[in-house]
Amino acid sequence: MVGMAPILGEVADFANAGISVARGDYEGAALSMAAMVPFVGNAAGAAKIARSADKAIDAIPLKNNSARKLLMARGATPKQAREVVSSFDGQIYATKGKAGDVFTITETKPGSASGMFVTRGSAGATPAERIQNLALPMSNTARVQGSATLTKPQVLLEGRVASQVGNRGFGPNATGGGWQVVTDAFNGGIRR
Amino acid sequence: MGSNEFIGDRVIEVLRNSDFDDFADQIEDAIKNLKSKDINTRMEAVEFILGMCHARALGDLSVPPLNGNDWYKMLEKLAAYAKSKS
Repeated sequence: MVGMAPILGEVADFANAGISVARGDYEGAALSMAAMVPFVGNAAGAAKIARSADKAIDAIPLKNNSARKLLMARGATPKQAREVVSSFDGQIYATKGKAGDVFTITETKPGSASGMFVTRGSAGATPAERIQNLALPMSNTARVQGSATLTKPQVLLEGRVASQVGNRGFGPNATGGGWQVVTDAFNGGIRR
Repeated sequence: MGSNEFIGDRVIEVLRNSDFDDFADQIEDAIKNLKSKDINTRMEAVEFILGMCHARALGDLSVPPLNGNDWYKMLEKLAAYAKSKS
């Protein structure tokens, strides 16, 4: 468990700073996540992010560096981890993914995407909307919305999608603003 | 020919094996253009490859039996090769 210390330390630091977490929800939320999975299991701070009118999800705000470390612990290269983290706009949250949780994959053709980047439900009514909301690269036409299921408990990274306008490989409509979830797809964490 | 130049062939092979022929064709063309004597053509190819070798672009493709991280490492090598031609 020593390996998780930097991430936990930073999560705890974040929590101690008292940012965005109401004291009353702290312990309950933290306890509910305590049995989660490595990296978040002992975290001291938690929040709730509302994903719909009637549903809130326990979440721990992460520093970008902590998110990068988590991704690298999963086998990502530093550059890969940076690119994933920079696809988020603002706060990244760690949430609890359970085996059996179902997500939406937006892709060019059925089965073309890895499942690393998913959403909670549709990211838009049309391919153009999905490209815009998810700031998809030109290589993803967003014509297909598939579903995929988590195969194991895991930490998910969630947050708002950053604009990629002006970046190589992205079109002028890749403005972002949608909500994305990053799974542990590269270690068999999700299947169709 | 340096060993890095073969990385393009390997990336193209993986893409074709997973039925991503469009992407394979695009990368193949770009790699050819990396050898162009015209600086604009070459730079355009470099930019194209760097854009495609992104975690959310080709890096997000499912290319079994390759693990996603191993696939990304190949893309990273291809990006480094392209950058060396700029």
